[in-house]
Amino acid sequence: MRKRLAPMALLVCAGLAHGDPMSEARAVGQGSVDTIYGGINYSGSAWTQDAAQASTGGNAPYGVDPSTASTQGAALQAACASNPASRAECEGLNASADTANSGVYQNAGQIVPQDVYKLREGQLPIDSALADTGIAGAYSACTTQTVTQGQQYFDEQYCHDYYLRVLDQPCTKTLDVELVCESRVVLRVNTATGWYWCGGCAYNRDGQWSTYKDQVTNLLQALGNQTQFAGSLTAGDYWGVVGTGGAAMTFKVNGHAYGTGTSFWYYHIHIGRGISYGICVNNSPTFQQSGCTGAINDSMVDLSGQADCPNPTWRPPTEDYPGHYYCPGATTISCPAGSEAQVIDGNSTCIGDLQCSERDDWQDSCAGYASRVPPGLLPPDGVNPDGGLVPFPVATGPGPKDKCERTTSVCTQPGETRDIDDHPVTRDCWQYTNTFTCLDLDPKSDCDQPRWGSCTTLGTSCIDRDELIPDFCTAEQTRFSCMVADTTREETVTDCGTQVYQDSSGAVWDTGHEPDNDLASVVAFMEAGREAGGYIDPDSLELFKGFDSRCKKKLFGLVNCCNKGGTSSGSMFSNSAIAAVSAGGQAAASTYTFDALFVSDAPNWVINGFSSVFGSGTSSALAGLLAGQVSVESFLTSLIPGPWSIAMLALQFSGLLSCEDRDIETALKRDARLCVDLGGYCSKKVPIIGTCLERTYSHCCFNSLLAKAINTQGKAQLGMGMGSAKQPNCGGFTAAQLQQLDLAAMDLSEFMDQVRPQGVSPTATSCYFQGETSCPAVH
Amino acid sequence: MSSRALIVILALLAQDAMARQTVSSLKPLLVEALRKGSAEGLLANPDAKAFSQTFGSTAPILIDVVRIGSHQEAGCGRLRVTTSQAGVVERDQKGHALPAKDQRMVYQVNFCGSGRFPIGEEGR
Repeated sequence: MRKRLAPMALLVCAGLAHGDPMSEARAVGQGSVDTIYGGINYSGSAWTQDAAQASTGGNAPYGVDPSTASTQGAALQAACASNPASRAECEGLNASADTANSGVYQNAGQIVPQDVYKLREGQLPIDSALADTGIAGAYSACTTQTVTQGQQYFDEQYCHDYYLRVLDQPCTKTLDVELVCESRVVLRVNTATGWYWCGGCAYNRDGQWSTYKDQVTNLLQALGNQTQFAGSLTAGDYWGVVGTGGAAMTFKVNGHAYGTGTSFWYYHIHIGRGISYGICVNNSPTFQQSGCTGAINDSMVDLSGQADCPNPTWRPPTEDYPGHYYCPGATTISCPAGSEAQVIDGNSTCIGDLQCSERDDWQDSCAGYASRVPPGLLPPDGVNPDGGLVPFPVATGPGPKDKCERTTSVCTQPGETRDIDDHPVTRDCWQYTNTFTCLDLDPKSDCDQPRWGSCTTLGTSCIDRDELIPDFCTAEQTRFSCMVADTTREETVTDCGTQVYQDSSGAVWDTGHEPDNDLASVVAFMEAGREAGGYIDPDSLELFKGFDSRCKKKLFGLVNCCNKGGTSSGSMFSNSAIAAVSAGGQAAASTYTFDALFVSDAPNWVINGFSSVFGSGTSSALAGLLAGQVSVESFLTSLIPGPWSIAMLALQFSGLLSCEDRDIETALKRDARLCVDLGGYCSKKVPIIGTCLERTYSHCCFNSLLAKAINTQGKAQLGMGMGSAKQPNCGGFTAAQLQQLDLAAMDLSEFMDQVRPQGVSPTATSCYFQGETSCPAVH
Repeated sequence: MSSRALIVILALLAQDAMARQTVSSLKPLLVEALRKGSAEGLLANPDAKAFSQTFGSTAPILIDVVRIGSHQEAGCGRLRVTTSQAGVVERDQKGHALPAKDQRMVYQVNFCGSGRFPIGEEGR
């Protein structure tokens, strides 16, 4: 039969249904007993009428033609008279003392209607029901066979091998400004009053050369020379210091080098009235007056070498006057333009006009990260490209594999003018705090979990590559087909399709009835009606609607928020499971829906569903949930019966995981097999280098297995897709669309499997038909 | 146990609870224990309230955290977490209430001062 469910019919059905679907199914089953057992046809004659109806006055035994009853009764009476033990009916016949031909049937007829009733009640086996009727006979045995019921359910799951992404690692760059000052100040040798040396630090007048000699000697020695003095300091005519084995010194006048060597001779020769004096370096005249080149007046004489101030008596640069020296004992000096003479520590010197440059020295803890940024992609500090007003930079090279990207740069010590060595220094920012997101070459994997061992590998593919080094895969995904539920079980089915009853007279009665397989279908369609009526979206008027449910796999840690519980933990959250552990739990709500997992999707559904389960005020946790004070997870956890410690662990750790509630809900929905997987996509990237940080897996999830089956297969019938991972189409059907669906063509076995009792053999379905109160739970 | 003794115990528990900081989750206690060596808290949030009601106890949920070791990742350490609650009523499989008793649970966990689990928790 082709079954089409008209929406209105569904709504009516849902409106009339007040019990749980199983109870309704049971009622339907019992109501059908009349049909199933109503006609036991006599195979030995043309008897075709319903025996119970045709038995006038109830005096004919079940299935016996009243028109021949007396004939059969006479035969039976005769048989009993001749041999009282020949037939079981004889005992009753004789006891009744009814000698009428039909007496046996009158007698039996008083009993048989009760048996008919029992038969109609389905209290099998029938021979037991008829044992005391006086018409006992022999039944042909029903055949029994062992069949496999249920099925295995597989889910495609993923794991990832990836290099660890480390997000937003902080670092700082702090600026130190160093002043590098060069003094223009030089001590001036005033030939009118004597020799003043700077660098060499010598001064003297004629005949007082000891200091000068010492300077030269010390300098040559500082340069590694062995020195020897020659000449006479007192005569003043000439003297010299000869160095050997060391480096050369340079003799300068007015900054001009006049010779380099290790032999220094000074001569001072009176020539007539004048004085001729000069210096020879390495026996060559290098500076002289009167005969030598160069002017001595206003000359600045600087004796320098490759070492500074070898004589410890020379004063080093001071903090106040860096870069220049003065000579102890100097009394009068004249200074060049821009410099002025001052007496410092009792000594004369020239100061002023320091030529300082500022050198920035960054204390940079970001350097390691910055070196891993591909060339061209590191903006100036404080600049944060956003792809809009501040465009993203463009790489000019691939960079390393373990590349980084600077994600933020903030000035944490704003610009100001600071006093450094009495020097005002102004900068726009004195410290930046930056963050870098990097790919570390640190392999991580969630593919080594033991549970994958029981899954079938479907394949491995690269899901993220280095955009600048395309052959470098940074994340691989391996897909598995995993069995998530196995409802298969061996059941012994009794097939009485060919069963006959042969009474003691030899009459054969067709009592055959085949195993009934329609129960699950009955429940499925009733449940479809209930859900259509109970869960219609009031805004869109959609039926069998799903919800866009997503979860995230973060590649920057070990947390996979898409991980399922693996133990069908989602099934703990079905309405029936919750009701079962609640004192107020009643089966008034649909027990095939999972309202608890859809709190954030459709809170009204949950409120309505739970209210019907618990009643108002029966659970303070429920009240908290309805008031929005209790998260769904904790609410459900609170309802799980079990050791306090397990629940406490769940309570504590739920706050430590970095998974969002919606991720957890999605995982639970998947656990309950309520979802259709739509694949995944990279949902979070480092903006410039493009490294994927997070993958989102999308699903359309439904609040029942039946809704999932109808939605997915209905869309297939209507040529509608489920959408993509980025844009799922989880919507339901309009009334018009629903009318087009062919439910009979749908495979609702997953739902039906949920309906069928499990582990009950051989007469599992009988509980539906016989009104038993001890039917096993089916959830 | 006499009613007087019970009152004394409850009073002591209440005094202990009052001396503790109230936290809405375990995380701040873990972080504080990493920093100071130990932390004591009283878990009080809507979830904990619902939890207590489920287990039929009005006693506070007390959590003691002690740092018991270091971790190779800087800023992380190993912590021992002790949770206790008095007067807990558990139920058997049929949902029947069992006699109330004091519950105590101890476990250890690696955690970091930044408020997350160590990245190198596995394999490193």
